[in-house]
Amino acid sequence: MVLNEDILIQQLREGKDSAFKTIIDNYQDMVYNTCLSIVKSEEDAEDIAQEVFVQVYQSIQSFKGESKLSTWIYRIATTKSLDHERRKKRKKRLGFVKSIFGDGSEIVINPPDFNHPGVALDKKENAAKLFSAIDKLSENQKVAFLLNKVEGLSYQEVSDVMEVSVSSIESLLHRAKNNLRKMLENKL
Amino acid sequence: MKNRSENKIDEILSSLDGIKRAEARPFMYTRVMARLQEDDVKSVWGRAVAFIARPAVALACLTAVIATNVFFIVNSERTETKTVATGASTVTEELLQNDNLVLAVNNLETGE
Repeated sequence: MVLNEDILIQQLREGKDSAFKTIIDNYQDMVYNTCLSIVKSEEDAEDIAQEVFVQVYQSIQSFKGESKLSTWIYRIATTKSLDHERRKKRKKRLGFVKSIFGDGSEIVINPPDFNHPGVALDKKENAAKLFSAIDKLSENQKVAFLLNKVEGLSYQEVSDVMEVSVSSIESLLHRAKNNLRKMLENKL
Repeated sequence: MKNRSENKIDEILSSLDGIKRAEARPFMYTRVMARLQEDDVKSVWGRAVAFIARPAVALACLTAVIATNVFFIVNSERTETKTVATGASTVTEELLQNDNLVLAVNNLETGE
């Protein structure tokens, strides 16, 4: 697998489209699912997933191979998704301020509860509440929690993606769960 | 013993257990390649704009435009001077011709 990955990376560096196609086929669901869990919009997640692969194609020369290819791609996907969320929040704030001054722009309305397509039908309502609470976590806690719970990564893998120690991830996840519990208590 | 509310929270917190990976729409590769080509076109324009926006290039363009304007202005002034000069000599010739004519008539009348 590692050997195959090395060959793929080498071929992509040489500009072989077949290697790029294989990488997209192998990682598209992983990237899309990661983006979707952070941005909670299928259209935006699709758009960001494409951006992620564009960056993979353009930056493969700078990939040093110190981490696994999947780890590097996870890092790009989370960074781009968080950037998108920041831009969205900024736009929302700006829209609110503009609406106060009455320049005719509308306030951005919060989207309805997000339903992840991979959640079992009987858990959908609870999962929507959980996603809504996750949205209020800090960026680090949110990414650590989603990579662990939605993508099923181990603590070690999450620490590789986030480039922090495993103990930091344990601490982040512990705080994330406590914060989620508090938020849900207030809601119930 | 946990109360009802705590049970509900635990239920919510565990709602992502067993979640399946969402699948991307088909033909991702085709869409990404289209995007890469689109980016290439954009980058060509971007490079062109960046080149024009370089201070040295912008200054050179500005100098060329000013020099062209100055050249045309100076050139048009010279043409005007020539035209005026040509016009003036024609008038003098005509006047001289008239003077000669008057002198000739006078000579005839006096019978010289």
